[in-house]
Amino acid sequence: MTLKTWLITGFSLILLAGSITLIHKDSYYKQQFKEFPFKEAKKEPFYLFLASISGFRSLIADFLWMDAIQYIGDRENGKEKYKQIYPKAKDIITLDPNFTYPYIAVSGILFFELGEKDTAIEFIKFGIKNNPDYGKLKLYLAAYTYSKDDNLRMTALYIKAAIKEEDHPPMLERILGSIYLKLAGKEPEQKNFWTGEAIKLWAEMYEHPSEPLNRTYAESRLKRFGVIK
Amino acid sequence: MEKHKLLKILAIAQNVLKECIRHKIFNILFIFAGALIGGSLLIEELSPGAEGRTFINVAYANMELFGFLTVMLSIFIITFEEVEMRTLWLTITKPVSRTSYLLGKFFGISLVLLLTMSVMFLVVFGLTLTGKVHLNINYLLVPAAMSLSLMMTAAFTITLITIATNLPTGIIFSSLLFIIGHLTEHLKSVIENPQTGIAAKTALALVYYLAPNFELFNLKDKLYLAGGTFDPYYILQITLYAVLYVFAALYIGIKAFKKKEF
Repeated sequence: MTLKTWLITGFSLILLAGSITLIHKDSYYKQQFKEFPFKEAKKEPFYLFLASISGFRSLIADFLWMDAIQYIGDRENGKEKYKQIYPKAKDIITLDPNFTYPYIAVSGILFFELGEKDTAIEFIKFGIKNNPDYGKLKLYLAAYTYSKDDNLRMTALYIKAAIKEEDHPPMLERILGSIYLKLAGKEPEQKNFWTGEAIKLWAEMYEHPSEPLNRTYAESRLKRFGVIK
Repeated sequence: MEKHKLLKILAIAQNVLKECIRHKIFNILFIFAGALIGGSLLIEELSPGAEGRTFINVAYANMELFGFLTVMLSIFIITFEEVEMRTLWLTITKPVSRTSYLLGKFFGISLVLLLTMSVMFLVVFGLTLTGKVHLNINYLLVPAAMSLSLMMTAAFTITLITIATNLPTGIIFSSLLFIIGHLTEHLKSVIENPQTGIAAKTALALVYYLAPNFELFNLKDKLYLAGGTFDPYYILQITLYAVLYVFAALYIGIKAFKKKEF
């Protein structure tokens, strides 16, 4: 063997040792990117497996989210009280625990629409654990906690703050309107104030709807209260 | 010592680029742009609340797929024309060493790849200006890491084709290696499983350490947990890792190519 061959072989071995060290010590990779929790897959194990072997984990989480949206959008699924939404959401966050929107949207559905308050709180807490720097989740947790304790004023306060955020679930606006009406019934001395707040909210939803359903909803409410004909 | 070795390597690389342009390989970019623009319009409807995120994920997935396709097509073009149609014989009779020849081909393919990736990123960048995504340096590092992994793939494919002497075999092996490179995460958990036998553990450990770990370069799946910008030390590490594998693969390829008789 010539000196050149020795040098090249030596260099290759040094680099190979370096690569093994990198794989072993890859602190960034190991600390921040959790091992694939295949056993935790609830609903779509095939897609979860596919995601992990293809290197498109985030993308497949997005596709599963689209599927979850279609599921929510199909009224037929209302017959079974959308019971698949939680397992579907679990799969999404199993694939990508840092996908924050499903925590917000699905916990809202669980809490306000399906009445699964504890599950919703547990779900949003899991989101906070995985995304401690994402402040919005804490806002939602506060809203759920106050609502669970029947503290409607604080719930309304937090939801009002939440809907000021650009990417809030549109459903939350409708929920806030209902909470204002509940407050109007609960506090007769403040009835006009809370009804006024609800009308202001519906007017805003009517003028600047975040989704078409919100406009229809606001229109029907405003008609009922005689604001528009 | 061969004179003007670098110039010869660059001339071969330039020739690869010209060949790829002549074979209209960059038409792939039009398909990419069309798929992405069409996809971005659909995403708006299909993924409420996560439009920006889904758009960028689809864009990166397309970039990786089309990048892989570019590498494979470029290699197909140069190998088919030079080996299968025997035009390689003309080149090696000229005063160009086999090392320069193979390195030139690799750099040429890398050039084609980098050009394709840059144009694709510009298309993505243009589409993000519509306000769906607020870009930062991380979004640039993702395609950079992707390019590194694809350059590794190119080096491996060239080497495998040289060893296999047969284009389809080389490309099939290379594609399998690409898949294994993404499986490393699972291999590790199988190795660490107490139920796995010693022999299987040893065999899997060999694959785990010797096969290229493409998941290290998969920054697109780590984009949302970076908590700021990606660690520069990590980027440096994976760059060195890619250099290692490209070096090792090309070294083996050159050795095999030198022994080859035409």
